Amino acid sequence: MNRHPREHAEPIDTLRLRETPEGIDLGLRVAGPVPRALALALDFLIRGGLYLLLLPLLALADLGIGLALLAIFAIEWFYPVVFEVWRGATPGKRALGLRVVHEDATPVGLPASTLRNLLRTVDFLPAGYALGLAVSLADRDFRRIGDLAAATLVVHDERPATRRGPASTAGQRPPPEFDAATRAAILAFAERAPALADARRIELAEVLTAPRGVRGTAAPALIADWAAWIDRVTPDGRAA
Amino acid sequence: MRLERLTARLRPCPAWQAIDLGFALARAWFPALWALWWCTALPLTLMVLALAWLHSDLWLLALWWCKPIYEAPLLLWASRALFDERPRRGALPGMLGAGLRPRLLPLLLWRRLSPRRALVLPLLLLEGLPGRAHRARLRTLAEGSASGWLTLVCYHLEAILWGGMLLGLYLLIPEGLAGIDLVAALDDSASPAYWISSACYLLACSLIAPFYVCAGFALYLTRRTELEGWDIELAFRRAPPPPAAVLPALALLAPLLLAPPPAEAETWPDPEAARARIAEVLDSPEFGTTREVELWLPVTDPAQRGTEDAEDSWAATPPPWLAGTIQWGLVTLAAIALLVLVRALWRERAPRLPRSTRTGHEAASGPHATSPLDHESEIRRLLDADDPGAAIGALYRASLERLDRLGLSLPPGATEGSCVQRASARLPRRIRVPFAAIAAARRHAAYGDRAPSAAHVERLLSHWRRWRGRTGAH
Amino acid sequence: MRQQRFEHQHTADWTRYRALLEQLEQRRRRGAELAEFPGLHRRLCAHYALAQTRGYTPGLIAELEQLVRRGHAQLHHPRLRLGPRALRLMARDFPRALRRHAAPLWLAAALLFVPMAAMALGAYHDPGLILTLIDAEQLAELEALYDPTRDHPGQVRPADSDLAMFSFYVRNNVGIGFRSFAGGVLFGIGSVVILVFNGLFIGAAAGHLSAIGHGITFWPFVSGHAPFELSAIAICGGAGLLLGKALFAPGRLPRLAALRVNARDALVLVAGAALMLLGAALIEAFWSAGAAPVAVKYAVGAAGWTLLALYIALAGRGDDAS
Repeated sequence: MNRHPREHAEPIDTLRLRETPEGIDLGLRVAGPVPRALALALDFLIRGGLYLLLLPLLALADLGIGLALLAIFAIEWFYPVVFEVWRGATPGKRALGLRVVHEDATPVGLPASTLRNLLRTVDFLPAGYALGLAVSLADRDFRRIGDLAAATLVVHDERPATRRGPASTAGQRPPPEFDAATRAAILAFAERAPALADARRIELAEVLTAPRGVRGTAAPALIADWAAWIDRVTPDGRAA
Repeated sequence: MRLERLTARLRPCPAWQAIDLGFALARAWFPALWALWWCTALPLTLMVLALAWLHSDLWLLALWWCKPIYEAPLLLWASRALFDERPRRGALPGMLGAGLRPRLLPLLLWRRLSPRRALVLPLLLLEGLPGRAHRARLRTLAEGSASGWLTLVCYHLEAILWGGMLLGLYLLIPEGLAGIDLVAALDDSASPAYWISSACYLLACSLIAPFYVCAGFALYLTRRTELEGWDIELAFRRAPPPPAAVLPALALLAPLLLAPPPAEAETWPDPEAARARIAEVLDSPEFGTTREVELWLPVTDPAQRGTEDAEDSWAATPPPWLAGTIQWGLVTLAAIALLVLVRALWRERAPRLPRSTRTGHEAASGPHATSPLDHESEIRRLLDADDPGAAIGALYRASLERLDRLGLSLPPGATEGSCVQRASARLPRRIRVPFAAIAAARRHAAYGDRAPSAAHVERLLSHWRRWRGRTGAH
Repeated sequence: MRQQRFEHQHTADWTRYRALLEQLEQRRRRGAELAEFPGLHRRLCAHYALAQTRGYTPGLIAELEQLVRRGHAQLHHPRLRLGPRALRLMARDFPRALRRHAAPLWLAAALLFVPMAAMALGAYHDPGLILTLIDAEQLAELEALYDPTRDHPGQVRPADSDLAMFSFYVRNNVGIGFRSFAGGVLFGIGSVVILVFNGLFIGAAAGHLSAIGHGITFWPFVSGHAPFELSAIAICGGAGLLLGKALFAPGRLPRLAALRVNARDALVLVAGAALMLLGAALIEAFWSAGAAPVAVKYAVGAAGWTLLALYIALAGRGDDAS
């Protein structure tokens, strides 16, 4: 077996951690070309709709043309800037759960947003964002030229965590040596156990419980008990 | 299957993020995957070229139709690389033939146009279930996986790259030379331009293929992670062993680590075991109870629409004064903006004083610019007040002032260290040594919170007096 | 510390923080109340880090993370304040950036004006030369536009179409400016191409129109807005060259970092130039086509160049502290 040269390298992931000034790490999930292309297509349609809304202006003859031209100018250059600075993302991006942020995880501001959207014209070259696509495929964080120059990232929005199911049983105290990651996995197991096949559930549970002498159908039940205990607010052993 | 050796971080996540993970994988393995694609595609290209001689459109269509043949080796390679094994050179021929396996036949026939091709490929190649079970399994895996969108978008990405390359070539070839006839490139299958366009398309396909295959693979992996709890298993395996029974635990874990669980381990090579597992998974009544539906709803923007409607309600004939009003409004606005700008410019004008008088070392000039005797009395006063920290500060400032008079230019805000450095570069030893001592004491007092003893300050002061006296005589 | 005590101790902070967050997210901000937000945010961050290191329940950690994430977004939410920003730009940052990056800007001006002058001379002496740039039909249109024998030489139009022309100039000229800036990121090539081409075209039009005797309408028309329009296009191109310079000669920085440093100033230049183009379009639409005497128009043109030179040389030289 040929070993991978980077045997102990970090696993490949789209998660980027950014340390805030307060000293905590915020995770950013960079978004790749597929959702971004769909968001772009959606924005394109929305823009088309806005242009359609301008049509009645033409009834006002020269004056209407003047106003329509101004509106077209604003839409073609500043549609993304306005939405990115105001809401953090264009409507198309919001529909796909994307957001534009500075590389340090702060919300995008006017200068960066203007820059990345002015450089759109270059990313578009020679047709249909071919250059931007090539650059973003080559870049680790899927940044197009505008993103590179403006130091911005397009990331997946973090969805609010939905946690803390009802803890019906009193539960059982898990072994003290379990670290935070293991506790999180125990809770995840309890959450997702119904979706697992029976055999797989037992097999999975035994990975954790077998070293502690519990096997078979008792294993998932034990983990469920641990999960119930962890899930309650009182991990110190007192009754909730 | 050895989850510990996974080279990607798998977790249950929305389909878009899974696709992005696939793109990240493809990017990491791109050179190998791209070369592998050409290893299968190039012989076929030449073969089809011989068959479809002079019919470039047929040639391209045949090559396009055969895409799954080149994609299968990529997937096999990726499935090995995911578990951190690069296939040996000897294994390559077998891998290249992967696309010709009989079970992939549906992909070349009726499934070729399926929008779920990216997801079907790993199923057929790695699991190889019989008809009915395969369909059920596919239904399970494809749930909320966006694989149709993936195919659609990747198809367009190919087209964009192709169009970009073609247009780029067209624009870059100077007019005098035989350029590319763009119309013929799309239209006339006998023209050389069409051949160039076909070659561009093939190149675009080869560039996108690794991403497409890996994205499909990542979708497959993410769904399996979700359904089988791979991430949980990984976390459980990494859990600390029971402290009292570390050794027995290791002994128990060892078989798990070395000999992977039977049902999972032979997933790729042994279809029998997998089939049994799949049947089991599918029999479970609770299966697939969670469902995430993503809907696209029309985005409405009431604010925008409101203003438009307001303008609509102006009848077809605008009042004649309207245009004039707008024009004068614009001009007035511009005039006001200009006035405000002029006012701001006046405020921002250059200061009247020559700038040179306002620079200089702040510590040396300003409130501390006093005579040496004043300095000394000030230091003595501070020493008497039992505040050696402040005294050493005053001494330091006094010596800085002295250095300034000696012509050593110190930039405002220079640190003690850089002052000492500059002094040691320019000044004789008899000055720089006592100065360095003063700076060191000052540093300790200011940043280390270790005020010098009064005696030490006294000693430094007497050194300084001597040095000042000597330099003062110059 | 036990988790229960930890939660009990800080739950008041968290409730307060959540309430403030909701206010912020709905943009209902009241200054006095929000003054405590940054401090509260730092405390929440500390709580989050503590909950992580002490291994409290994942639910609590996720909850705190969510709060901290929302707070981070609100705390660093950029303030827009377009008016003061534009004023500061024009009164200080833009002229300073102009002086700071004199070299690429002079180069851009040369790329625009040298081909323009050469082409103007060429087209003046050889009326056929302009046909290498545009076809006969466009030429006829151009000639008709500045025909002195028209009913209203100097193109006096109803106010209606003045506004339409204003919009047209804005869209066209600012678009050219933006493109000539963006093209600079391709190692400066895009900027050079757009500058030279525009120079050639304008030069050809000027030379040709003068040669066929339309100069008496053309020159008064362009004199008013030319100072601002031409120099703004040159500035946009120069900003593009500044981007290109970062890629060609990044100095001590890696190329990407150099690009980002230069892009910051280039953006100031482009924004200033865009405002200049807006002013130029106002002049072009509402003054240039007006019926003022020729001498007045030339005087306005000369005043424009003088003011521009004074602005570039003297504006924004004040103290940083002011």
